[in-house]
Amino acid sequence: MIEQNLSELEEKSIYIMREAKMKFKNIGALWSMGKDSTTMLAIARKAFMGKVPFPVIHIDNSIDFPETYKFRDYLAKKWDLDLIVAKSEIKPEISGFSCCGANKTEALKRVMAEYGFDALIVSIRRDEHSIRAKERYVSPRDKDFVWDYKNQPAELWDDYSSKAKKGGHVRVHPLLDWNEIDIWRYIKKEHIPINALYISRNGYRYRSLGCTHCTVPIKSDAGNVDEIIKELKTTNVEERSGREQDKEKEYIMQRLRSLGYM
Amino acid sequence: MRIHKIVMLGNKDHGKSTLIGNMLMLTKSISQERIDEAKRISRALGIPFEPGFLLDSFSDEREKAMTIDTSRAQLVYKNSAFELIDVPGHEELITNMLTGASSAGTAVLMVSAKHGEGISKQTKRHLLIAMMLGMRNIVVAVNKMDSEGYKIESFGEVRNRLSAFISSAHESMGAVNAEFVPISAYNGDNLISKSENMEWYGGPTLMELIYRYATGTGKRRDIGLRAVVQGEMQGNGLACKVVSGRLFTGQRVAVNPGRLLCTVNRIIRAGRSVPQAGAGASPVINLSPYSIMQRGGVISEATDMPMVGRNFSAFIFLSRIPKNPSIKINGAEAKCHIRIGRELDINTGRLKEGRAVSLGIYRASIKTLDELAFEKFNTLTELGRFTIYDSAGFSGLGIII
Ligand SMILES: Nc1nc2c(ncn2[C@@H]2O[C@H](COP(=O)(O)OP(=O)(O)O)[C@@H](O)[C@H]2O)c(=O)[nH]1
Repeated sequence: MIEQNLSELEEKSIYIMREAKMKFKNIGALWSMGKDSTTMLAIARKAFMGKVPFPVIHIDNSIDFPETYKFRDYLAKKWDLDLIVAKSEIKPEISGFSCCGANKTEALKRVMAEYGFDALIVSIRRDEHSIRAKERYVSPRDKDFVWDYKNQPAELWDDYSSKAKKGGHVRVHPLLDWNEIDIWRYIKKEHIPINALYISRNGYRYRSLGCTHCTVPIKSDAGNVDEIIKELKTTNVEERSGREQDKEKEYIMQRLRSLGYM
Repeated sequence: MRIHKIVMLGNKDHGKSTLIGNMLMLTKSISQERIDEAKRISRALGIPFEPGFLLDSFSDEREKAMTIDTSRAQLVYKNSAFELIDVPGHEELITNMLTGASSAGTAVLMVSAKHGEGISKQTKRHLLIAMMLGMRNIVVAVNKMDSEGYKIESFGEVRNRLSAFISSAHESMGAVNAEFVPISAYNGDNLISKSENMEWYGGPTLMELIYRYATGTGKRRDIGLRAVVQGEMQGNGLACKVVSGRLFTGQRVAVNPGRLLCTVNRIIRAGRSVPQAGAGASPVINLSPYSIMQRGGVISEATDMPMVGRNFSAFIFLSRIPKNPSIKINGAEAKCHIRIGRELDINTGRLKEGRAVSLGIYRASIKTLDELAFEKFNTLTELGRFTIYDSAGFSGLGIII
């Protein structure tokens, strides 16, 4: 996995977040308490003089791990975050693919409507999945949250000009250029607090976090951030292979995304 | 590690995705999982394994074997990192091609040597756009040599015809270095290691050429301080981006347009006060005397200001003819009038009298309603390029000459 220049990545993410803040009236950010969205918040603190200037949204389906809730409450207090918890209901009959789609997207739609957000910061990276490699830094979604990937607007140089269509919003992706290993190197460099689930316990750790229903841990003895970085330098396994939802169908990400799920 | 960005250009179906897919496999830059997935999908579609499927990730892209949007893949060669950017080679998807190409420093132009394919309008258009975007080194990969029996004549024909075109485009677009390499993206000939099927070719492999061009494009020319104003930071100062030179506290600077003279009081970078900030940084600064600064304003040394005005000459590419256009340059936006001059003839590479049609490259004079600060593209790329919009959205781009 290629290690990129951290200060270049950081500067660009800062620039993108400032652009978003200046261009859009009402921004929210998704926070899953995972490594990427937590890193995004750490960068936002740097971009905006020490304080995250937008609300952070947790789509809570009540089946996240206890560690995740604990970490959420700890960091929300420590960083003085404006936390919105959007409860989503898990219906037992819905599982796997339809789980994230039906349950999470509905909750997100409700929260977006209630707060009237016109832009949503989402901490996806290109190297997560080949479909994400096609994303723009600023990417419009229509009123049904659909990503019209066949008809994406131009995005040249530093000109992030995309606007939301009527009733829709834009997704802002400040971490698009980052690789998984860069996130961990940055966490180490900046001493960013992380969810305990990433650290190995009894020979297993989580590499990518979803809820208790669709995330499985990987075999790993990495007991701290340094060891995680070391592990990533040699791995030949996809980051999201621990997520059941990906396995179910080949084009699931595409569908999830066009349904509006991140 | 610095990542060298390489864009793959060329007509659709000439093999861009296949090439990138195979390069990823040959340099072991992709997981077995992804390879297995691409194999499974090829089987399901009832066709031989398509390395291109490693990149084309939408089901419609795979089924129609057509890249719709850009995608990117990273690999390492000789301890340097490269990002290969795949762009659609389809005429209607030119905006997506521009999006991908705009972030690259080096271009690979794919031309299929296969009978009936060869140099097309789209090949030439991509080449001219790459030249216009300032890519001075272009690797021409003459592909599908396997379908022509790996014959030197097939390579020679493409090379001779395209070299002639490039030479005639020099006059208007400036000189480029072009190196030609015969390959088979599908079979892997001359991608990473020398092919035994083409003993007659004595030159470097494709990856070696990419490596030489991308790592050799020396350091960029740095003129003095040029920083672009991004906007006000809620009472905390002015967010800006340094594109050239160095900002430091105590510096006497000018902000243009408007010739505001100020002193830099404080520089805050990633939340901390620092004595200076160089190219690439996005600091927040405090200037005194304080005054409202326009987005897109250019900060420079007081004694070395950028060009400022309402008129300039440009090369523009129009993906669509705009109505009541405006241009955007470094965040500044201005209504403008575009007077189209001569057209770059896609067949000959020379300028000719033309009429504005979409997908054309033109000399143009641009008159803006508001004053702008800028540089010529050849002096400082970041301040010398712009995008063209109208109420329907993006309609083209240009460089100031
Ligand atoms: N014979 C032959 N066919 C190739 C070669 N490279 C690509 N192709 C085929 O050409 C078609 C188009 O290739 P693709 O990579 O999708 O083209 P793109 O549109 O430029 O990305 C596919 O069917 C490939 O299998 C090659 O080196 N030799």
